[in-house]
Amino acid sequence: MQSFRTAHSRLSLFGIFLAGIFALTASISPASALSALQQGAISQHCGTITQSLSTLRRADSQTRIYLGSYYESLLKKFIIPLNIRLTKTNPDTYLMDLQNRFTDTRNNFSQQFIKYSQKLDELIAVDCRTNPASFYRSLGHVRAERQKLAEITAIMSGIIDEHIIAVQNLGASL
Amino acid sequence: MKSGGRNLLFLTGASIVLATVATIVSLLIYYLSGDIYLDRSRPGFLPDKPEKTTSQRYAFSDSGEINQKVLDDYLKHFQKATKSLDQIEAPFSEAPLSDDSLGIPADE
Repeated sequence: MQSFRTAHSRLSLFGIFLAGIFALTASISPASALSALQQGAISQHCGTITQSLSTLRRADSQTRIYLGSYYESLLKKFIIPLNIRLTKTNPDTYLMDLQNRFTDTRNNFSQQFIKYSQKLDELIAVDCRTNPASFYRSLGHVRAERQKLAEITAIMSGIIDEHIIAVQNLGASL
Repeated sequence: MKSGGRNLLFLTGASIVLATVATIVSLLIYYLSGDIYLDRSRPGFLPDKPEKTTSQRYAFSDSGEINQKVLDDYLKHFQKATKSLDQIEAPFSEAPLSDDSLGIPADE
């Protein structure tokens, strides 16, 4: 009877372990939801998909340069000179805070672009013809990094809008 | 072979090894630091046609007084500059990586 209880308890533990592994795999692997039809489509159109991703990589690089140089230009030709001029006469802590946030977010933008590009390169390197499930899992990671990048550009736009309002308020208070 | 010749051979070999190691280390730093992803001069990433330039002649001076007129002028130029940013609609949107865009059918 004792050995039966021990065996039963071991079996239960093993069941819990298996359930845990299954739940973990399901939560971290979007590919687990990939149907046979989708896997077939990825394998079949692998060449086209890889080509699209390479084109996207190039387009993203151009967007990064375009946005990055604009952020740099706004910072060096407008935001910093305004704060320097204000520091000499009437320092504005809010505008200084916006400048710091702008600089930090611009740096985050570059770092996030690197992370995103690394993931995109990893995705393009996966052989989607023979390994569609792994490809789709990597695609999920790239999408997540791209979303973070989009969020950072939205934050930058928000800071620019805040800056405009702050300068308008400063003008009204003079 | 005379010792002068041997030394010359050794020097040549050492130079080649040193140059190879230095190149590998440089490329490794270039790749691991992520600079490779910010570098537009690498093959395949050069623009096909002249790109829109972001150069602006106007730059706000960091000296002088601050008054309503100066700030209005500042805002006029600042908003003109940010209009170009607005031309990029939804940068890094999720659309190009969607299942639909990549030709992956919806799950049934």
